[in-house]
Amino acid sequence: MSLYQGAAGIDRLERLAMGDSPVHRLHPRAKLLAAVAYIGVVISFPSYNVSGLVPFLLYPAVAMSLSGTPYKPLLIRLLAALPFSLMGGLSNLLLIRETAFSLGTFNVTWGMVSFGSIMLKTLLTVLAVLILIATTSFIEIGHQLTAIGLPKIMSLQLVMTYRYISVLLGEAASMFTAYILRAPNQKGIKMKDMSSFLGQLILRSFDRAERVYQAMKCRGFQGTYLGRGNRKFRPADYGYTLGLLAAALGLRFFNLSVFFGTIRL
Amino acid sequence: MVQVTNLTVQYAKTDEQAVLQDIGFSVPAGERLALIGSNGAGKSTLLLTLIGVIKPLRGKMVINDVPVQEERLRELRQKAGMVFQNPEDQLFMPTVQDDIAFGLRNYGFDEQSVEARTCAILERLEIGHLKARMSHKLSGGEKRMAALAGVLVMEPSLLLLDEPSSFLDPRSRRNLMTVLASLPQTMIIATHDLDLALALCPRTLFLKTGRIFADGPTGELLRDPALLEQCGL
Repeated sequence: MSLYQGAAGIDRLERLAMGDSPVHRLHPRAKLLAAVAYIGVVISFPSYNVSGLVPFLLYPAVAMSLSGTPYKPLLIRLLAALPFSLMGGLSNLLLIRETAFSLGTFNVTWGMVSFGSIMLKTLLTVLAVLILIATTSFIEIGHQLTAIGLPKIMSLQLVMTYRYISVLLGEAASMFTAYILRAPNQKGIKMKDMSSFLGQLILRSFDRAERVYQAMKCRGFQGTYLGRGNRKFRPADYGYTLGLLAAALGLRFFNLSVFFGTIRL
Repeated sequence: MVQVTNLTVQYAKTDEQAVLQDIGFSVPAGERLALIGSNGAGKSTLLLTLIGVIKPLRGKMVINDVPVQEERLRELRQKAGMVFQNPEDQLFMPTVQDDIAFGLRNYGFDEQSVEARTCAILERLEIGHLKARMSHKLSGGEKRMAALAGVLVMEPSLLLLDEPSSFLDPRSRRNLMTVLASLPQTMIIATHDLDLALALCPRTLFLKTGRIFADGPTGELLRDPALLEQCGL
């Protein structure tokens, strides 16, 4: 995928967020609180508990199905996060070698269990965030983050960063194309040119950011992105937040996988 | 309506030459004034100074009886709107609808008024079909119209336009000129597009290296080849 295509596709989640489904129609704060609660519960699982985490896959499956969110764009973005966990998990895999249990002649070590747990937690938490972004406008998320107590400056930074990733990619793509067109025998940017390339990119981005800020000030911006007014919390919003919180807490203290495993038919 | 007196702008105190030097002019209500000059003559700087983005070294500016001062900028920017040279700089909300509503929400309009005024301006500029589109996916002409809508929705009495016809194909340019000609607002248009200036603005200011070089009827000034040559056009 070229830089141009990357820049063009980065807003895919934003376009998905403009959809209309029962999940899209929920109050942004309900979705944010539910996602935070879900992530908090997932993270709280001990390192060696994989079976307890498995039922948590239900949430992304149900949310994606109800919101009509396609799995492909989420999985592509998920892949970008996995290498970081992979590195952390691999060290456990190599360092913790005591046997946890055996599957026939194959010994499963605690390192492998811990590795599985780390990867599963990453999958669940990143998916929860991606589903939130794919069903809620990022500006609304920023607005709600401020409403629940995140300092205004931090939520503003988040929103602005998200907003301008595509702009930055676009600038980088134009510069890269201009470079390659004048260096046809090269496949990429030479290391000796990299510093000036990145320097120029930063300077252009600063200039651009300054102009955007001026335009915002000219239209009355005072440091807060304002969303579409104060929507009221409806029973469905309470139901979603409390339902998900209750389900997550229930699954935290009741191992559904073990329960199903002990059922004798 | 717009009164500028002895305006001098310098980006840094160490700069040897001011970007704008002793500028003075006035624009009566409803007049359309073209600002013409070569690159670096100070056209964009003048517009940004008028809207309070750039602080002048000295001088006085009054727009609709509101002095351009730090403490009055919020009030001023409700009365004067600026359309930037590059619409990409001005469209920063995800959708056209949200972008047009940006100024209204910042000025505390309720959601009902926001919706009504947004729809009205989209209809007025005949860009209703862009309402739900992602702003950065629009064509150059569509971006320009969306940026203009975001400013016009505030119903300003003064419009500052920086190179409004740049990035536009001939049809979009004609469309924009038709829209601008139909607006009742006082306008100051910084442009290199001499045809646009001639078609829209009865009066023109020529800027040269930060000073007013000529001020007069557009037709007369543009028919003077020596003057155009002197101004680097």
